[in-house]
Amino acid sequence: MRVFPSHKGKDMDFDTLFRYWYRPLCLFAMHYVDDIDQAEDIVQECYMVLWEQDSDSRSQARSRKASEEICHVRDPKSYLYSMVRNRCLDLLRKESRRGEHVPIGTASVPESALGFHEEETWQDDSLREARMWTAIDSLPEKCREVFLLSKRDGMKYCDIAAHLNISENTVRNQISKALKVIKEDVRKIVAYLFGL
Amino acid sequence: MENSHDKDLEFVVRHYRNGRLDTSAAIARFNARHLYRRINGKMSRSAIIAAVSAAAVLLAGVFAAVRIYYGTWVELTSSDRLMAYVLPDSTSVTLAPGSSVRYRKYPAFSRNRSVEMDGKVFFSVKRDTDHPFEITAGGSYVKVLGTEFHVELTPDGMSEVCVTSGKVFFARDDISRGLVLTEGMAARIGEGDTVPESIDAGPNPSVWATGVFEYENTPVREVLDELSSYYSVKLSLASQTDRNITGRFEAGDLDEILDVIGNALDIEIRKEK
Repeated sequence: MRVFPSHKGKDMDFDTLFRYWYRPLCLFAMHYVDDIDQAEDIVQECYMVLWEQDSDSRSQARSRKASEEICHVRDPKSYLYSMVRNRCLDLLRKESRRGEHVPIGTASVPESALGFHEEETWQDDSLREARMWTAIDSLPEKCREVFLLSKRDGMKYCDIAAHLNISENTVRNQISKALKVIKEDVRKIVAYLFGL
Repeated sequence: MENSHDKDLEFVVRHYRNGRLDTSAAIARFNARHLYRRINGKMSRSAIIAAVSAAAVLLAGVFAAVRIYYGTWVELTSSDRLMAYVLPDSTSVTLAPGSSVRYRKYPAFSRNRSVEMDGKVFFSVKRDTDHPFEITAGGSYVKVLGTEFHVELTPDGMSEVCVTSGKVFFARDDISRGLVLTEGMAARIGEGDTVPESIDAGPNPSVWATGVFEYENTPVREVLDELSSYYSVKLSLASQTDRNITGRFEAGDLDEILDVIGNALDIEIRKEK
Protein backbone atom coordinates (compact mmCIF):
# COMPACT_ATOMS: atom_id res chain seq x y z
CA MET A 1 0.00 0.00 0.00
CA ARG A 2 1.25 3.44 -0.88
CA VAL A 3 1.05 5.93 1.94
CA PHE A 4 0.88 9.70 1.71
CA PRO A 5 1.34 12.12 4.56
CA SER A 6 -1.82 14.02 5.39
CA HIS A 7 -2.16 17.51 6.72
CA LYS A 8 -3.11 16.36 10.17
CA GLY A 9 -0.07 14.18 10.58
CA LYS A 10 -1.87 10.91 9.96
CA ASP A 11 -0.93 9.19 6.74
CA MET A 12 -3.43 8.47 3.98
CA ASP A 13 -3.03 5.82 1.34
CA PHE A 14 -3.67 6.78 -2.24
CA ASP A 15 -7.11 5.23 -2.34
CA THR A 16 -8.23 7.20 0.69
CA LEU A 17 -6.69 10.34 -0.74
CA PHE A 18 -8.76 9.76 -3.85
CA ARG A 19 -11.97 8.93 -2.02
CA TYR A 20 -11.67 11.81 0.39
CA TRP A 21 -10.72 14.62 -1.93
CA TYR A 22 -12.16 13.64 -5.30
CA ARG A 23 -15.48 15.43 -4.90
CA PRO A 24 -14.08 18.51 -3.16
CA LEU A 25 -11.49 18.87 -5.92
CA CYS A 26 -14.13 18.53 -8.64
CA LEU A 27 -16.28 21.18 -7.00
CA PHE A 28 -13.24 23.37 -6.55
CA ALA A 29 -12.52 23.01 -10.27
CA MET A 30 -16.11 23.80 -11.12
CA HIS A 31 -15.69 27.23 -9.62
CA TYR A 32 -13.36 27.88 -12.52
CA VAL A 33 -14.50 25.80 -15.47
CA ASP A 34 -18.23 25.69 -14.74
CA ASP A 35 -18.49 22.33 -16.48
CA ILE A 36 -18.79 19.07 -14.62
CA ASP A 37 -17.12 16.94 -17.30
CA GLN A 38 -14.12 19.22 -17.67
CA ALA A 39 -13.78 19.43 -13.90
CA GLU A 40 -13.75 15.66 -13.55
CA ASP A 41 -11.20 15.27 -16.35
CA ILE A 42 -8.87 17.79 -14.75
CA VAL A 43 -9.07 16.15 -11.33
CA GLN A 44 -8.42 12.73 -12.85
CA GLU A 45 -5.37 14.07 -14.63
CA CYS A 46 -4.00 15.62 -11.44
CA TYR A 47 -4.34 12.39 -9.47
CA MET A 48 -2.54 10.66 -12.31
CA VAL A 49 0.32 13.15 -12.13
CA LEU A 50 0.58 12.71 -8.38
CA TRP A 51 0.67 8.94 -8.72
CA GLU A 52 3.30 8.98 -11.41
CA GLN A 53 5.55 11.51 -9.72
CA ASP A 54 5.38 9.45 -6.63
CA SER A 55 6.29 6.30 -8.56
CA ASP A 56 9.27 8.07 -10.11
CA SER A 57 10.55 9.33 -6.78
CA ARG A 58 10.16 5.85 -5.40
CA SER A 59 12.15 4.17 -8.11
CA GLN A 60 14.87 6.80 -7.74
CA ALA A 61 14.88 6.27 -4.01
CA ARG A 62 15.19 2.55 -4.57
CA SER A 63 18.12 2.99 -6.93
CA ARG A 64 19.85 5.11 -4.32
CA LYS A 65 19.25 2.24 -1.92
CA ALA A 66 17.38 4.52 0.42
CA SER A 67 16.58 2.68 3.60
CA GLU A 68 13.23 4.37 3.97
CA GLU A 69 10.76 5.08 1.25
CA ILE A 70 9.49 8.58 1.58
CA CYS A 71 6.96 10.19 -0.61
CA HIS A 72 8.44 13.34 -2.05
CA VAL A 73 5.13 15.13 -1.96
CA ARG A 74 4.99 16.63 1.51
CA ASP A 75 1.39 17.73 1.39
CA PRO A 76 -0.38 15.83 -1.39
CA LYS A 77 -3.72 17.53 -0.73
CA SER A 78 -2.40 21.07 -1.18
CA TYR A 79 -0.37 19.87 -4.11
CA LEU A 80 -3.55 18.51 -5.73
CA TYR A 81 -5.40 21.74 -5.10
CA SER A 82 -2.75 23.91 -6.68
CA MET A 83 -2.42 21.52 -9.63
CA VAL A 84 -6.17 21.57 -10.21
CA ARG A 85 -6.23 25.35 -9.96
CA ASN A 86 -3.37 25.78 -12.43
CA ARG A 87 -4.92 23.45 -14.93
CA CYS A 88 -8.26 25.18 -14.70
CA LEU A 89 -6.61 28.53 -15.31
CA ASP A 90 -4.67 27.09 -18.26
CA LEU A 91 -7.88 25.81 -19.74
CA LEU A 92 -9.65 29.13 -19.28
CA ARG A 93 -6.75 30.98 -20.85
CA LYS A 94 -6.78 28.65 -23.82
CA GLU A 95 -10.52 29.01 -24.26
CA SER A 96 -10.50 32.77 -23.97
CA ARG A 97 -7.79 32.90 -26.66
CA ARG A 98 -10.02 30.86 -28.88
CA GLY A 99 -12.76 33.31 -27.99
CA GLU A 100 -15.22 30.63 -26.94
CA HIS A 101 -16.34 32.16 -23.70
CA VAL A 102 -14.66 34.21 -21.04
CA PRO A 103 -15.89 33.24 -17.62
CA ILE A 104 -13.09 34.96 -15.71
CA GLY A 105 -14.48 38.04 -14.05
CA THR A 106 -18.03 37.13 -14.91
CA ALA A 107 -20.61 36.50 -12.26
CA SER A 108 -20.32 32.73 -12.68
CA VAL A 109 -16.95 32.70 -10.91
CA PRO A 110 -17.13 33.73 -7.29
CA GLU A 111 -14.31 35.82 -5.93
CA SER A 112 -13.09 33.04 -3.73
CA ALA A 113 -12.07 31.10 -6.80
CA LEU A 114 -9.87 33.85 -8.11
CA GLY A 115 -7.26 33.59 -5.42
CA PHE A 116 -8.49 36.17 -2.96
CA HIS A 117 -8.74 33.53 -0.30
CA GLU A 118 -6.08 31.54 1.37
CA GLU A 119 -5.35 28.01 0.30
CA GLU A 120 -6.87 26.50 3.44
CA THR A 121 -10.14 28.30 2.70
CA TRP A 122 -10.41 26.80 -0.76
CA GLN A 123 -10.00 23.40 0.71
CA ASP A 124 -12.53 23.94 3.47
CA ASP A 125 -15.05 25.54 1.11
CA SER A 126 -14.87 22.79 -1.42
CA LEU A 127 -15.02 20.15 1.28
CA ARG A 128 -18.19 21.74 2.58
CA GLU A 129 -19.61 21.90 -0.93
CA ALA A 130 -18.77 18.24 -1.46
CA ARG A 131 -20.59 17.43 1.72
CA MET A 132 -23.63 19.34 0.48
CA TRP A 133 -23.51 17.45 -2.79
CA THR A 134 -23.42 14.17 -0.89
CA ALA A 135 -26.27 15.33 1.33
CA ILE A 136 -28.39 16.14 -1.74
CA ASP A 137 -27.52 12.71 -3.13
CA SER A 138 -28.76 11.13 0.06
CA LEU A 139 -32.15 12.87 0.08
CA PRO A 140 -35.23 10.79 -0.68
CA GLU A 141 -36.02 11.05 -4.39
CA LYS A 142 -39.24 13.05 -4.05
CA CYS A 143 -37.69 15.40 -1.53
CA ARG A 144 -34.66 15.98 -3.78
CA GLU A 145 -36.89 16.68 -6.75
CA VAL A 146 -38.90 19.28 -4.89
CA PHE A 147 -35.75 20.84 -3.47
CA LEU A 148 -34.03 21.11 -6.87
CA LEU A 149 -37.14 22.43 -8.62
CA SER A 150 -37.25 25.22 -6.10
CA LYS A 151 -33.60 26.07 -5.49
CA ARG A 152 -32.02 25.16 -8.81
CA ASP A 153 -34.79 25.77 -11.29
CA GLY A 154 -36.30 28.69 -9.38
CA MET A 155 -39.87 27.44 -9.50
CA LYS A 156 -42.43 28.91 -7.13
CA TYR A 157 -43.94 26.71 -4.41
CA CYS A 158 -47.36 26.89 -5.99
CA ASP A 159 -45.97 25.88 -9.40
CA ILE A 160 -44.09 22.93 -7.93
CA ALA A 161 -47.23 21.87 -6.10
CA ALA A 162 -49.22 21.96 -9.34
CA HIS A 163 -46.44 20.27 -11.31
CA LEU A 164 -46.06 17.34 -8.90
CA ASN A 165 -49.71 17.24 -7.91
CA ILE A 166 -48.99 17.73 -4.21
CA SER A 167 -50.03 20.41 -1.74
CA GLU A 168 -48.08 23.60 -1.34
CA ASN A 169 -47.63 22.74 2.31
CA THR A 170 -45.89 19.48 1.35
CA VAL A 171 -43.58 21.44 -0.91
CA ARG A 172 -42.67 23.74 1.94
CA ASN A 173 -42.11 20.81 4.30
CA GLN A 174 -39.95 18.88 1.84
CA ILE A 175 -37.73 21.89 1.18
CA SER A 176 -37.23 22.69 4.84
CA LYS A 177 -36.50 19.02 5.46
CA ALA A 178 -33.88 19.06 2.70
CA LEU A 179 -32.27 22.21 4.04
CA LYS A 180 -32.14 20.71 7.51
CA VAL A 181 -30.52 17.48 6.30
CA ILE A 182 -27.91 19.42 4.33
CA LYS A 183 -27.10 21.73 7.20
CA GLU A 184 -26.74 18.88 9.67
CA ASP A 185 -24.58 16.84 7.32
CA VAL A 186 -22.25 19.77 6.79
CA ARG A 187 -21.94 20.32 10.52
CA LYS A 188 -21.20 16.64 10.99
CA ILE A 189 -18.32 16.74 8.55
CA VAL A 190 -16.80 19.73 10.27
CA ALA A 191 -16.90 17.86 13.56
CA TYR A 192 -15.43 14.84 11.85
CA LEU A 193 -12.59 16.88 10.39
CA PHE A 194 -11.56 18.18 13.77
CA GLY A 195 -11.60 14.69 15.13
CA LEU A 196 -9.26 13.46 12.43
CA MET B 1 -20.67 31.43 8.50
CA GLU B 2 -24.40 31.35 7.70
CA ASN B 3 -23.85 33.61 4.76
CA SER B 4 -21.07 31.48 3.28
CA HIS B 5 -23.17 28.38 3.87
CA ASP B 6 -25.96 29.80 1.73
CA LYS B 7 -23.56 30.94 -0.95
CA ASP B 8 -21.88 27.55 -1.11
CA LEU B 9 -25.22 25.77 -1.19
CA GLU B 10 -26.38 28.01 -4.00
CA PHE B 11 -23.30 27.07 -5.98
CA VAL B 12 -23.71 23.34 -5.33
CA VAL B 13 -27.40 23.36 -6.13
CA ARG B 14 -26.83 25.23 -9.35
CA HIS B 15 -24.38 22.57 -10.56
CA TYR B 16 -25.99 19.58 -8.97
CA ARG B 17 -26.74 16.69 -11.28
CA ASN B 18 -28.14 13.50 -9.92
CA GLY B 19 -25.61 10.66 -9.68
CA ARG B 20 -22.67 12.75 -10.88
CA LEU B 21 -19.28 13.15 -9.21
CA ASP B 22 -19.46 9.49 -8.37
CA THR B 23 -16.23 8.74 -6.53
CA SER B 24 -16.34 4.99 -7.06
CA ALA B 25 -16.83 5.42 -10.80
CA ALA B 26 -13.96 7.90 -10.81
CA ILE B 27 -11.69 5.41 -9.06
CA ALA B 28 -12.60 2.74 -11.58
CA ARG B 29 -11.81 5.17 -14.38
CA PHE B 30 -8.54 6.14 -12.74
CA ASN B 31 -7.49 2.52 -12.34
CA ALA B 32 -8.32 1.72 -15.95
CA ARG B 33 -6.33 4.70 -17.24
CA HIS B 34 -3.52 4.05 -14.83
CA LEU B 35 -3.19 0.44 -16.01
CA TYR B 36 -3.25 1.57 -19.62
CA ARG B 37 -0.45 4.04 -19.01
CA ARG B 38 1.67 1.51 -17.23
CA ILE B 39 1.44 -0.81 -20.17
CA ASN B 40 2.10 1.93 -22.68
CA GLY B 41 4.79 3.92 -21.01
CA LYS B 42 6.65 3.94 -17.86
CA MET B 43 7.86 0.37 -17.72
CA SER B 44 11.40 -0.82 -17.51
CA ARG B 45 12.69 -3.49 -19.90
CA SER B 46 12.81 -6.16 -17.25
CA ALA B 47 9.32 -5.27 -16.12
CA ILE B 48 8.07 -5.65 -19.70
CA ILE B 49 9.77 -9.03 -20.03
CA ALA B 50 8.34 -10.12 -16.69
CA ALA B 51 4.89 -8.89 -17.67
CA VAL B 52 5.03 -10.57 -21.06
CA SER B 53 6.16 -13.88 -19.64
CA ALA B 54 3.54 -13.68 -16.92
CA ALA B 55 0.94 -12.97 -19.59
CA ALA B 56 2.23 -15.91 -21.64
CA VAL B 57 1.97 -18.28 -18.68
CA LEU B 58 -1.50 -17.00 -17.94
CA LEU B 59 -2.53 -17.38 -21.57
CA ALA B 60 -1.16 -20.94 -21.70
CA GLY B 61 -3.14 -21.74 -18.58
CA VAL B 62 -6.30 -20.30 -20.05
CA PHE B 63 -5.80 -22.26 -23.25
CA ALA B 64 -5.28 -25.47 -21.33
CA ALA B 65 -8.39 -24.82 -19.28
CA VAL B 66 -10.38 -24.03 -22.40
CA ARG B 67 -9.15 -27.19 -24.10
CA ILE B 68 -10.06 -29.32 -21.14
CA TYR B 69 -13.40 -27.62 -20.81
CA TYR B 70 -14.39 -27.75 -24.46
CA GLY B 71 -12.77 -31.12 -25.01
CA THR B 72 -15.04 -32.74 -22.49
CA TRP B 73 -18.08 -34.63 -23.63
CA VAL B 74 -21.59 -34.29 -22.48
CA GLU B 75 -23.48 -37.55 -22.36
CA LEU B 76 -27.24 -37.84 -22.28
CA THR B 77 -28.71 -41.19 -21.31
CA SER B 78 -32.17 -42.59 -20.84
CA SER B 79 -31.78 -45.55 -18.41
CA ASP B 80 -35.06 -47.54 -18.52
CA ARG B 81 -37.35 -44.70 -19.49
CA LEU B 82 -38.02 -42.60 -22.54
CA MET B 83 -36.10 -39.36 -22.09
CA ALA B 84 -36.20 -36.11 -24.03
CA TYR B 85 -33.42 -33.52 -24.08
CA VAL B 86 -32.69 -30.29 -25.89
CA LEU B 87 -29.14 -29.83 -27.22
CA PRO B 88 -27.37 -26.44 -27.13
CA ASP B 89 -28.40 -25.73 -30.74
CA SER B 90 -32.11 -26.26 -29.85
CA THR B 91 -32.19 -29.65 -31.51
CA SER B 92 -34.35 -31.92 -29.43
CA VAL B 93 -33.56 -35.57 -28.95
CA THR B 94 -35.78 -38.31 -27.62
CA LEU B 95 -33.96 -41.34 -26.31
CA ALA B 96 -35.58 -44.76 -26.24
CA PRO B 97 -34.83 -46.72 -23.04
CA GLY B 98 -31.18 -47.77 -22.83
CA SER B 99 -29.93 -45.21 -25.35
CA SER B 100 -27.34 -42.45 -25.18
CA VAL B 101 -26.17 -39.36 -27.07
CA ARG B 102 -22.77 -37.74 -26.65
CA TYR B 103 -21.51 -34.37 -27.89
CA ARG B 104 -18.62 -32.05 -27.23
CA LYS B 105 -19.24 -29.25 -24.86
CA TYR B 106 -20.53 -25.89 -26.07
CA PRO B 107 -19.34 -23.92 -28.04
CA ALA B 108 -17.37 -26.60 -29.85
CA PHE B 109 -20.78 -28.09 -30.53
CA SER B 110 -22.23 -24.96 -32.10
CA ARG B 111 -19.35 -24.76 -34.58
CA ASN B 112 -19.51 -28.41 -35.41
CA ARG B 113 -22.84 -30.02 -34.68
CA SER B 114 -21.62 -33.53 -34.29
CA VAL B 115 -22.97 -36.18 -31.95
CA GLU B 116 -22.35 -39.84 -31.24
CA MET B 117 -25.12 -42.14 -30.21
CA ASP B 118 -26.08 -45.61 -29.17
CA GLY B 119 -29.47 -47.31 -28.99
CA LYS B 120 -32.49 -45.64 -30.57
CA VAL B 121 -32.78 -41.88 -30.74
CA PHE B 122 -35.30 -39.58 -32.37
CA PHE B 123 -33.86 -36.27 -33.56
CA SER B 124 -35.75 -33.08 -34.29
CA VAL B 125 -32.88 -31.11 -35.75
CA LYS B 126 -32.95 -27.35 -35.63
CA ARG B 127 -32.43 -26.09 -39.15
CA ASP B 128 -29.04 -24.43 -39.72
CA THR B 129 -27.79 -24.67 -43.29
CA ASP B 130 -24.33 -23.39 -42.34
CA HIS B 131 -23.80 -26.08 -39.77
CA PRO B 132 -24.98 -29.53 -40.82
CA PHE B 133 -25.91 -31.85 -38.03
CA GLU B 134 -23.88 -35.05 -38.02
CA ILE B 135 -24.51 -38.28 -36.22
CA THR B 136 -22.16 -41.19 -35.82
CA ALA B 137 -23.90 -44.36 -34.70
CA GLY B 138 -21.52 -47.29 -34.53
CA GLY B 139 -20.50 -47.94 -38.11
CA SER B 140 -22.88 -45.50 -39.78
CA TYR B 141 -23.06 -41.83 -40.51
CA VAL B 142 -26.02 -39.49 -40.84
CA LYS B 143 -25.86 -35.90 -41.99
CA VAL B 144 -28.82 -33.53 -41.99
CA LEU B 145 -29.68 -29.89 -42.25
CA GLY B 146 -32.93 -29.60 -40.39
CA THR B 147 -35.43 -32.38 -40.09
CA GLU B 148 -37.07 -35.00 -37.92
CA PHE B 149 -36.01 -38.63 -37.96
CA HIS B 150 -34.77 -41.37 -35.75
CA VAL B 151 -31.66 -43.49 -35.76
CA GLU B 152 -31.54 -46.92 -34.23
CA LEU B 153 -28.43 -48.93 -33.57
CA THR B 154 -29.42 -52.53 -32.93
CA PRO B 155 -27.35 -54.91 -30.81
CA ASP B 156 -26.35 -56.88 -33.91
CA GLY B 157 -24.61 -53.79 -35.37
CA MET B 158 -27.43 -52.79 -37.70
CA SER B 159 -28.17 -49.06 -38.05
CA GLU B 160 -31.61 -47.94 -39.09
CA VAL B 161 -32.78 -44.46 -40.03
CA CYS B 162 -36.42 -43.48 -40.36
CA VAL B 163 -37.29 -39.98 -41.56
CA THR B 164 -40.42 -38.16 -40.37
CA SER B 165 -39.80 -34.94 -42.26
CA GLY B 166 -37.05 -33.18 -44.16
CA LYS B 167 -34.03 -34.70 -45.86
CA VAL B 168 -31.31 -36.94 -44.45
CA PHE B 169 -28.03 -38.20 -45.84
CA PHE B 170 -27.27 -41.73 -44.63
CA ALA B 171 -23.99 -43.56 -45.27
CA ARG B 172 -21.27 -45.76 -43.80
CA ASP B 173 -19.16 -42.69 -42.99
CA ASP B 174 -18.77 -39.12 -44.12
CA ILE B 175 -16.75 -40.00 -47.24
CA SER B 176 -18.79 -42.94 -48.50
CA ARG B 177 -21.57 -43.06 -51.01
CA GLY B 178 -24.93 -43.08 -49.30
CA LEU B 179 -28.65 -42.64 -49.61
CA VAL B 180 -30.67 -39.48 -49.39
CA LEU B 181 -33.83 -40.19 -47.45
CA THR B 182 -36.88 -37.95 -47.43
CA GLU B 183 -40.17 -37.89 -45.57
CA GLY B 184 -41.55 -41.33 -44.82
CA MET B 185 -38.45 -43.14 -46.04
CA ALA B 186 -36.30 -45.52 -44.04
CA ALA B 187 -33.08 -47.41 -44.62
CA ARG B 188 -30.67 -49.65 -42.79
CA ILE B 189 -27.04 -50.56 -43.02
CA GLY B 190 -25.55 -53.78 -41.68
CA GLU B 191 -22.02 -54.41 -40.55
CA GLY B 192 -20.88 -55.88 -43.88
CA ASP B 193 -22.63 -53.37 -46.13
CA THR B 194 -20.96 -50.43 -47.83
CA VAL B 195 -24.18 -48.69 -48.82
CA PRO B 196 -27.48 -48.58 -46.89
CA GLU B 197 -30.55 -50.25 -48.33
CA SER B 198 -34.07 -48.87 -48.30
CA ILE B 199 -36.59 -50.60 -46.11
CA ASP B 200 -40.26 -50.27 -45.37
CA ALA B 201 -40.55 -49.19 -41.77
CA GLY B 202 -44.29 -48.54 -41.78
CA PRO B 203 -46.12 -45.20 -41.82
CA ASN B 204 -45.04 -43.99 -38.36
CA PRO B 205 -41.72 -45.53 -37.38
CA SER B 206 -41.01 -42.74 -34.87
CA VAL B 207 -44.32 -42.88 -33.03
CA TRP B 208 -42.47 -44.12 -29.93
CA ALA B 209 -40.88 -40.65 -29.73
CA THR B 210 -43.44 -38.36 -31.35
CA GLY B 211 -46.48 -39.98 -29.79
CA VAL B 212 -48.47 -39.30 -32.96
CA PHE B 213 -49.92 -41.64 -35.55
CA GLU B 214 -50.40 -40.02 -38.90
CA TYR B 215 -51.99 -41.75 -41.87
CA GLU B 216 -52.70 -40.72 -45.38
CA ASN B 217 -54.72 -43.12 -47.44
CA THR B 218 -53.17 -45.99 -45.52
CA PRO B 219 -54.83 -49.41 -45.85
CA VAL B 220 -56.58 -50.43 -42.63
CA ARG B 221 -54.51 -53.61 -42.56
CA GLU B 222 -51.29 -51.61 -42.35
CA VAL B 223 -52.65 -49.34 -39.64
CA LEU B 224 -53.65 -52.30 -37.53
CA ASP B 225 -50.21 -53.87 -37.99
CA GLU B 226 -48.57 -50.73 -36.71
CA LEU B 227 -50.95 -50.39 -33.78
CA SER B 228 -50.41 -54.08 -32.98
CA SER B 229 -46.70 -53.70 -32.71
CA TYR B 230 -46.86 -50.39 -30.84
CA TYR B 231 -49.33 -51.66 -28.23
CA SER B 232 -47.99 -55.24 -28.20
CA VAL B 233 -51.36 -56.77 -29.02
CA LYS B 234 -52.73 -58.67 -31.97
CA LEU B 235 -55.38 -56.79 -33.90
CA SER B 236 -57.37 -58.25 -36.74
CA LEU B 237 -60.46 -57.50 -38.81
CA ALA B 238 -63.65 -59.44 -38.45
CA SER B 239 -64.16 -59.15 -42.18
CA GLN B 240 -61.94 -58.08 -45.05
CA THR B 241 -62.06 -54.46 -46.20
CA ASP B 242 -60.20 -52.41 -48.79
CA ARG B 243 -60.84 -49.10 -47.10
CA ASN B 244 -58.07 -46.67 -46.27
CA ILE B 245 -57.49 -44.35 -43.33
CA THR B 246 -56.48 -40.71 -43.47
CA GLY B 247 -56.00 -38.86 -40.22
CA ARG B 248 -53.87 -38.02 -37.27
CA PHE B 249 -54.29 -39.11 -33.69
CA GLU B 250 -52.24 -39.23 -30.56
CA ALA B 251 -50.97 -42.47 -29.18
CA GLY B 252 -53.27 -42.72 -26.16
CA ASP B 253 -55.74 -45.30 -25.06
CA LEU B 254 -55.88 -48.11 -27.65
CA ASP B 255 -59.55 -48.98 -27.09
CA GLU B 256 -60.50 -45.38 -27.74
CA ILE B 257 -58.48 -45.37 -30.97
CA LEU B 258 -60.04 -48.63 -32.10
CA ASP B 259 -63.50 -47.27 -31.27
CA VAL B 260 -62.92 -44.22 -33.44
CA ILE B 261 -61.55 -46.22 -36.36
CA GLY B 262 -64.27 -48.86 -36.04
CA ASN B 263 -67.08 -46.30 -35.95
CA ALA B 264 -65.64 -44.16 -38.73
CA LEU B 265 -65.22 -47.04 -41.14
CA ASP B 266 -68.05 -49.13 -39.79
CA ILE B 267 -65.84 -52.15 -39.29
CA GLU B 268 -65.26 -54.56 -36.44
CA ILE B 269 -61.78 -54.89 -35.00
CA ARG B 270 -60.79 -57.83 -32.85
CA LYS B 271 -58.17 -57.57 -30.16
CA GLU B 272 -56.17 -60.43 -28.66
CA LYS B 273 -53.47 -60.16 -26.07
